[in-house]
Amino acid sequence: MRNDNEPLQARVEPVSSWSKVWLVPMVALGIGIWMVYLELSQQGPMITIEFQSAEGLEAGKTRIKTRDVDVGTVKEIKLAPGSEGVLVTARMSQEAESLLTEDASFWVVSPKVSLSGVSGLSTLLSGAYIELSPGSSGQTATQFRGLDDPPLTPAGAPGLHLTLSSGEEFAFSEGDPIIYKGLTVGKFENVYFNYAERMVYYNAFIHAPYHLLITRNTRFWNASGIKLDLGAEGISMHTGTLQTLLTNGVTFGVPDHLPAGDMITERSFFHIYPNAEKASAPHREFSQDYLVLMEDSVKGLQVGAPVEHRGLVIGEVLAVNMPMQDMPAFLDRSYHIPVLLALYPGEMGLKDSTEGREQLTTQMDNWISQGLRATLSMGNLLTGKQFVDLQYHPRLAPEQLVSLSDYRVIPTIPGDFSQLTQKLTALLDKFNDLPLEQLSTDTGQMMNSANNTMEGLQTTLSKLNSLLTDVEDKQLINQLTHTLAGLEGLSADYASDSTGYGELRQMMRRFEQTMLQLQPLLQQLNQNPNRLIFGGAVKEREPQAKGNSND
Amino acid sequence: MTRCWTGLLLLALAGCGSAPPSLEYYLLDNTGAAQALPVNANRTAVSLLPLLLPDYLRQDGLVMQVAPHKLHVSRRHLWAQSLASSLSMALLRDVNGSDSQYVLRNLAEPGTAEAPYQLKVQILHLLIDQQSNIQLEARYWLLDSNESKTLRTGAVQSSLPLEEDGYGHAVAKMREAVAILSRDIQAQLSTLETSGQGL
Repeated sequence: MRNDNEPLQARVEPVSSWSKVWLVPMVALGIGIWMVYLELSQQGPMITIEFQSAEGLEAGKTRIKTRDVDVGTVKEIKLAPGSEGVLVTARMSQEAESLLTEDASFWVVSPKVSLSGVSGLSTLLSGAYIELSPGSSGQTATQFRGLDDPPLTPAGAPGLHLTLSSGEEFAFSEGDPIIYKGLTVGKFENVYFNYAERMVYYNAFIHAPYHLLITRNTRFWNASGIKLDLGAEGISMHTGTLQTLLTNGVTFGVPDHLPAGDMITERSFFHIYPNAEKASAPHREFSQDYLVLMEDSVKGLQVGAPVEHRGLVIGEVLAVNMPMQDMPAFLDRSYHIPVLLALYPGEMGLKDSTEGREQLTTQMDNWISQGLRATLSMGNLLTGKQFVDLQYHPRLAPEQLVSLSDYRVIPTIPGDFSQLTQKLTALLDKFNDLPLEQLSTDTGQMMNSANNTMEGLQTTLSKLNSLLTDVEDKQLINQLTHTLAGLEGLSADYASDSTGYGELRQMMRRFEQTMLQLQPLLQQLNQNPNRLIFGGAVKEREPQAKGNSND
Repeated sequence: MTRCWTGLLLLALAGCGSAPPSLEYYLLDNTGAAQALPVNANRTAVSLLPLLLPDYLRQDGLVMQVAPHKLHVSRRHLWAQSLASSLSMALLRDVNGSDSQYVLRNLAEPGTAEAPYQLKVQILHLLIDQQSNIQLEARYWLLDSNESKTLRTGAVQSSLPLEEDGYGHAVAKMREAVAILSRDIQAQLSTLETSGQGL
């Protein structure tokens, strides 16, 4: 029992160090930290891409995509130091981190319309975005340089990269197609001009599986526009695809006379020939040069013109009016125009080798001594192009073999056109020798005589004509006179005061009287036909005096 | 038997005997009343153009109206001359009988084509009507030959009662009706004379 006098002792309890209320902000803080962690843990790296311009890009809105999947967002756009471009800072997603290799490509996708096609139409509504093309390198990076245009060939695409060259004036541009049998199997990727070689090189890509068609013996040739062939079978027209009609394009193939060859597995160089014929022409490595000294005009003879024998091409023209020593002055009358030819042993049934070239040299010496002559012939009457024709002329006197500046000289004779000109000149000379003035005088005299004779004949014919006309007129007048006299007599017989007229009128009057007398009878018969037989009194109404009328 | 047939034949022949129809011919212009035309060389000629007659008068029988819109053409009482000629002669006689400045000439007369005036007459009706009257209805035009211009026009409609029976009296009344028409034409010609349109 408790004593009341005892003072009460307060029970002292220790004060709690924190309130339970603090649990709420603690939990909120924990959640916040967890969210920040979660956000940071899901974020990918921040990358920077340098573009030439920020056209179509907008911070906070423009997306970065690969294969149409969002992998990042543009966070900031600012000018690059030196104002040489813009720096686009973007936050990538965590999944895209592995795609950010140092050879990854970025470009802006926006609507584009070109001869090669239309692309990026979907961005008309959604706005431009940045396309990421993952690279194949294992080295990651955060600094990239954006492409001005999308790459024609995605990195790592299966196929074959080629380098094509062309010395022709035609030029191809990026995106032009490479066609095989009408099918687009590749594209030109970019153009590079080599200033040292003055050649244009084109990097091209052949898509798989068509890259298997490219072999060592493959030839490329131009397939742009329309090609018209005028042959013995008429006019034929060849075209590529519609795209090659609008732009340019090349096609390729293996010449018929060559095997397919080994397959190409790495970047190789190929030449672009102007057309299929030149592409399929056999390539001759060995040739022997000859010289011809032309007396005729070489107008229309160009470098590359064929050298033919009986219609077959056995060489080509290497140079026209080649500068040479030991030649008279250009304006000297004895100056002959030197034309350098190259004859291919491979085109003449010999081996395309040094041995074949030696055989060609020996054979040519024999052929020249047996009457082989070079002449200029007209290859095309429309264009005036000429070629060198080698023909045998056994009737000509044999000539000695001559060499000039280490070139064997093939003797020449005047060409067809020159021969034609000579014959025409000779014919004109014969015409000039004719006594044309005397002939003209004699002809003039003969024409005068003939003219006089014709005038006399014309006068005689005129007189004869007038005589015949007079005779006809007299006969006609006599006949007309007789006819008029007859008509006059006839009219006199029936004139108003003539006897015939009086008789005719009297007869008509009698006829009229007779008809008047017959009229009552006819009326009576019309009304009562039996009255002619049976008779009967005719009772007819008669007028009555006024007042006596019954009406 | 033979006698019977002969008797029948004689009876048939007797039945065929008939009196011919008695025809009466009438002349409109009474030749007995002809009188000499006064000679006046200075009279102006007026050519009478052919008369225009209705179709029912272009025949020889005299016409009598027996009912409204119904005519009877006599088969026994005939005109001895065509009515157009008779009317022309009557007009010539009546108009030229007076001592007028103008002389009416038939177009068939020589020199009439050059007459300065022309008279064109159209007879609309000339018949015996149902009330025993002679009805004459006519129109006429006085024309200038040179200018083909109508100078005067006139119309006459006369009705003369028959005082006796028979077609002869009716023809005489028709002649009186024509005389009335002639006097009207004379009156119009006199107005030409007085208005100074004559030569």
